[in-house]
Amino acid sequence: MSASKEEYPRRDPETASRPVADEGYLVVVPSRAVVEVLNPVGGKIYSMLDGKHSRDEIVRALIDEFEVDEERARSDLQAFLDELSAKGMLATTGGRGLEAEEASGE
Amino acid sequence: MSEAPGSGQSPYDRLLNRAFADARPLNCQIEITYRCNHLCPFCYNSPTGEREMTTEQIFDVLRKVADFGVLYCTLTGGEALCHRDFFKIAQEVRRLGMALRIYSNGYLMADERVVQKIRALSPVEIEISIHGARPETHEAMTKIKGSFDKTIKAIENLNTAGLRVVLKCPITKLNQNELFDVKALGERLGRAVIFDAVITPKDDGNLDPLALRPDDDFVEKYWGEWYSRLHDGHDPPQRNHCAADGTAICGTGRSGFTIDPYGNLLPCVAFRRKVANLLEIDGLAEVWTSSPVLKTVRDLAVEAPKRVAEHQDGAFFAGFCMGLAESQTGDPLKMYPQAEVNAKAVRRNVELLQIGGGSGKGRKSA
Repeated sequence: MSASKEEYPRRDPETASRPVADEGYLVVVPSRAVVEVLNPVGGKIYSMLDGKHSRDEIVRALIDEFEVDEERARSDLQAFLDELSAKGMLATTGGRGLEAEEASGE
Repeated sequence: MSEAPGSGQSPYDRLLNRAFADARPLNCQIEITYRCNHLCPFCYNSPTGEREMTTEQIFDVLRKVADFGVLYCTLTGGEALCHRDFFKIAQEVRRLGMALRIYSNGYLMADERVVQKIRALSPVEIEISIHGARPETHEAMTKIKGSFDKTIKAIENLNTAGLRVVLKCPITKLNQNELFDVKALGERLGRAVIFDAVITPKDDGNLDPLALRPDDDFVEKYWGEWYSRLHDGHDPPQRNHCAADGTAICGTGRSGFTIDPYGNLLPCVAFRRKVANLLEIDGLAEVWTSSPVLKTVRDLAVEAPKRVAEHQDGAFFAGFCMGLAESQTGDPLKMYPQAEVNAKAVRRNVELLQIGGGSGKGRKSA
């Protein structure tokens, strides 16, 4: 099973992140020695950027949790991924998805 | 990516304040060993002779720390790089998804290969101790001939590797007249210097290190015009940055904690009341919320600003430390000699220079 990096986006593994209650996420970006602050929506997306969740799965999670329509969820996700990419917070290679990893025995 | 809050706080400060209010620590400092390749007489470490944690035990502790939601993990000692498995431990910090900070004397980083291995860990920051602008001054403290050149070489190596470095200079009577030269040295190396005006007793209460504290005349000058010149125009802080609203004297047992080489959980590096041993419990969540030691510490931290303010100069010294108060006076809320001297000097200079409410905090990034 092949999966493009765009299908299973992955955060830069060099970053470190933690949620703070329901207020948002702190993301430490060592390469720039800064801390980025994500709002709850951004934090939800970021937590799912593990290379195992597809874009569709992330969109479904946004619809379920934040009660937005699909078009809005997809556009917000794309805008957020573009912003992460510009800030060097996305991995240059994407994940393989959970099914692909299970098939390969990893 | 981040919302503009209505309260006027930055999003970053808002999250930090929320974590503080909830007593959810984002910071952990782990003393992975008391071994050290320097012999600094002012060092506060007090090895007890117990067996230090094995590397596997440190891994177990790190897992519990990460599971609890800590974001920043600082590896220190002793000298952290003197632990034979330092790189395995640091790699484990990263594997667990925590941001890595390293406190070091830099001696072993004079080897470029060591710095390259550190670089591969993507640390957020490396803090290097420097004790003077000249070899004689620095080595009068470290007691290791050649350590000054090693430290300078380390900083140069870290710079070449593109890593973020902060220099820390504890102020003693040996270097008190050399601070502007130390700042100039830092500037030549392209690095900021943080000056620490408080020498602490040893963790076991031994007061010998205090013999090296700076002269009272120096303290007077330091908290006056010298402070601003040494800190890029910042005024002395009026509040501890962990609780800038004054609700607590500091973040001990709230915004962070310390773990000693034996696995003991402590409210912070200075307030060394044992909370629990992390090798004997399954995780941090329950002890963090139910520990009577931590409840007492947090209550003391809230009481402390009021008690300190009762002292005629108390409100002027943002660096009051309950741990130092307890180790020197037996009472965590009592003004200890260094606090009195510093508070008096800050007050005189605030009144003389009519300093406003500056935070004294110069860095915003990680």
